[in-house]
Amino acid sequence: MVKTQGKPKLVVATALVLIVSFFFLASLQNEELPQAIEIEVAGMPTIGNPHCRVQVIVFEEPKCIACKNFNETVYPLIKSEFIDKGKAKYTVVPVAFISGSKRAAESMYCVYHQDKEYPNPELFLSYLDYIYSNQPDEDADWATKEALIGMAKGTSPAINIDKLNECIESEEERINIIKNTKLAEKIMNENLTTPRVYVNGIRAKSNSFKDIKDLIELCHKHKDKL
Amino acid sequence: MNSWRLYLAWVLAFLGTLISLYFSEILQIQPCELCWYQRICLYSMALILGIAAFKGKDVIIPYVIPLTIIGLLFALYQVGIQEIPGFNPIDFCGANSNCHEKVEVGLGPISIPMLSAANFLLIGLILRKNRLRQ
Repeated sequence: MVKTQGKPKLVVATALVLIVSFFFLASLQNEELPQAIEIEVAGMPTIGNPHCRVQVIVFEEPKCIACKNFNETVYPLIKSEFIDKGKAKYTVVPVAFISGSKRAAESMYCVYHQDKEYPNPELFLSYLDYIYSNQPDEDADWATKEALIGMAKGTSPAINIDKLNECIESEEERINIIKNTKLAEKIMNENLTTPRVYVNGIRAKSNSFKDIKDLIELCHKHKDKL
Repeated sequence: MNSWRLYLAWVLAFLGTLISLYFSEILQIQPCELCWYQRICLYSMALILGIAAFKGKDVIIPYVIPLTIIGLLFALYQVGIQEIPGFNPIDFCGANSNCHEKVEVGLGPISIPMLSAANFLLIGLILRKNRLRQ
């Protein structure tokens, strides 16, 4: 049997070299904010304290299942931890790229712009929430005018059904949805996926509440330097 | 030859430890539940193998091999969740974590759990060869 020799000096030397390198590399990284981009969302459905300097922007698609899941699992946490506490404002940008979803997105904007003078983001979100909760199969062409009006009726009596009907028929909100979708395509470099979350123009590492929460808190730390 | 194996295995474990700390503390990539289980194995091995390499005690090897196996299993499981859609037979992580997210670390398709699995595998192979010699 060959006796294994200890290498005390080598081990200690290696440990020292590696530890020193580690701290050296660590010192090279300063705690900077990652690259932020400009996202023009003026006039889009926004809730939360308007004076907040931290803004969460979420690109969503009414027919997308991942968006539905996001709305059910992550959004309530963002709402209770940040929006309701006045720590962030929240903007939803509805886009449409799945076939058949343009009309659903338009009808949501119809509800949002029901009163041209006073856009109603809360009503918009309630409607979106209802649509997600009753979302049929992604492949089914379910976003017919009748189905959307049925969902509006189920959402709230505050929705003016006649105005909604007229709005969907005239397709007057189509131009806004197309504008939103083009904005999303530009920002995501043609790799349009939803849901996609940005906080103050910085893309969240993932759609999990943990990563979004960390990013919001990071933005808070740096908000005085903005 | 044998003397080098303990040392090499330790270097790999220690490097893995430092790199994982670089990812979490410096690059701010939050470790998920599965990552922590792998770290328990890796950090323990870094310490134990360091002492063993220092003293030249390869009797430690049978005690450390199980750590490489357990670490490897967790790492492979995490690779599975990240690469195979819908794969999640045992829900370690829960809905609110980022276990499923494959974080970009500048190596293209190679993810952190892949690196971790490779590391555990290498350490295990280096240590096992040592035993077979005797």
